[in-house]
Amino acid sequence: MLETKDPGTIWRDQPEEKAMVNLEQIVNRRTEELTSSTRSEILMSVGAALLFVAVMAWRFAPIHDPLLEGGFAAVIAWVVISLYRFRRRIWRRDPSRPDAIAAPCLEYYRAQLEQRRDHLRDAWLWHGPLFLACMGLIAILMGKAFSGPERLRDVLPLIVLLAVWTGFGLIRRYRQARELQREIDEIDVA
Amino acid sequence: MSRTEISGAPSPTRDELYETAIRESGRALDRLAAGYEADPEKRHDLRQDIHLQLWRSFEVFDGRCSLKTWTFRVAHNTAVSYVNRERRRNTRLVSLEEIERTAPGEDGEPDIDRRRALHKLSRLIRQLKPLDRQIVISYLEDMDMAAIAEITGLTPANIGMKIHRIKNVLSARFLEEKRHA
Repeated sequence: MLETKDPGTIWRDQPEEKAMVNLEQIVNRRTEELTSSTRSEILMSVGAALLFVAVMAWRFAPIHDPLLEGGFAAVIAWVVISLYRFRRRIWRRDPSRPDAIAAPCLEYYRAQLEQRRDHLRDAWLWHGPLFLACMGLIAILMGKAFSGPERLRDVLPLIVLLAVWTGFGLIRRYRQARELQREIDEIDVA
Repeated sequence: MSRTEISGAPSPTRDELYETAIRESGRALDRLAAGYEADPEKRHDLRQDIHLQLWRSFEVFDGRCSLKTWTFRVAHNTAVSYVNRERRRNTRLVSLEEIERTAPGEDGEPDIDRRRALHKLSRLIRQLKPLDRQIVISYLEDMDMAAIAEITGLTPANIGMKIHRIKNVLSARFLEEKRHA
């Protein structure tokens, strides 16, 4: 004879967790994590921008070219604006308000999916560097700094790497955003 | 209007609410975390995160739903955020409907060992998409349809349909051959 074993009883009778949760420790640990991730994210962003500008300046800056200098200024402005615009995502691990976390699960989960989807589709964040890189390249080719293909050849691997990485990144992000949108649609139908 | 003005009695502080919630649902929250994370160390992190968010949330607890509903909403939502963060590393998550369509395979073997059964049940739960997971965990915690609806925000009709599926899935996978003497 076949008899159903009650999964509810199995679930509720599972052994107790050995490690205890201490609220004070949690808050301290989270604070440390927050400080540490904040620092590393800022340093990484600033470092990446400085590396890009430094490589370009090393190859082209000795010649004063308003187009090129404008390009450097645009990259730096982009970094500063991005840091300001995404300061909440950078500075705080969980930007949700205390009342948002207590919303009905469906609503909260949908909001989370939307937030992630919007982040993946963010043109400023993802298309911005590509646009700036293209503009920079045009500025170099049209400007006084472009004395011949020799200097361009030196930075070409960096530009190709950046373009390939950006291209793959865009495709991957669009796919992820599409998958998230499908899940949002499923929720809307339910 | 504050809670004090409504009831006339002093409203409990955030710490008091947190302590009550943990006293009443602490073990259930541990089980909930087990439904979202298999790795003990990561599960401990998730438990800590749930406790932190719960404590934070009581700052704005307005008493419009029960303490238990509030506690489980916060816990599930925190776990969903965790699943989303870990999403890249996770294998593909499936819906209850997909699981129902899949043959039980070797999972259909008789379960004599309780620990093995729990392992199988936990593995099944962790495969599910977050919303289905919330419903299964709440169902296993013996909550009624109204409570699950209040926690998830789905309609009772939807919950009823999902619970029907859960029962099918569980009974297909947890059949035990009873031996008669």
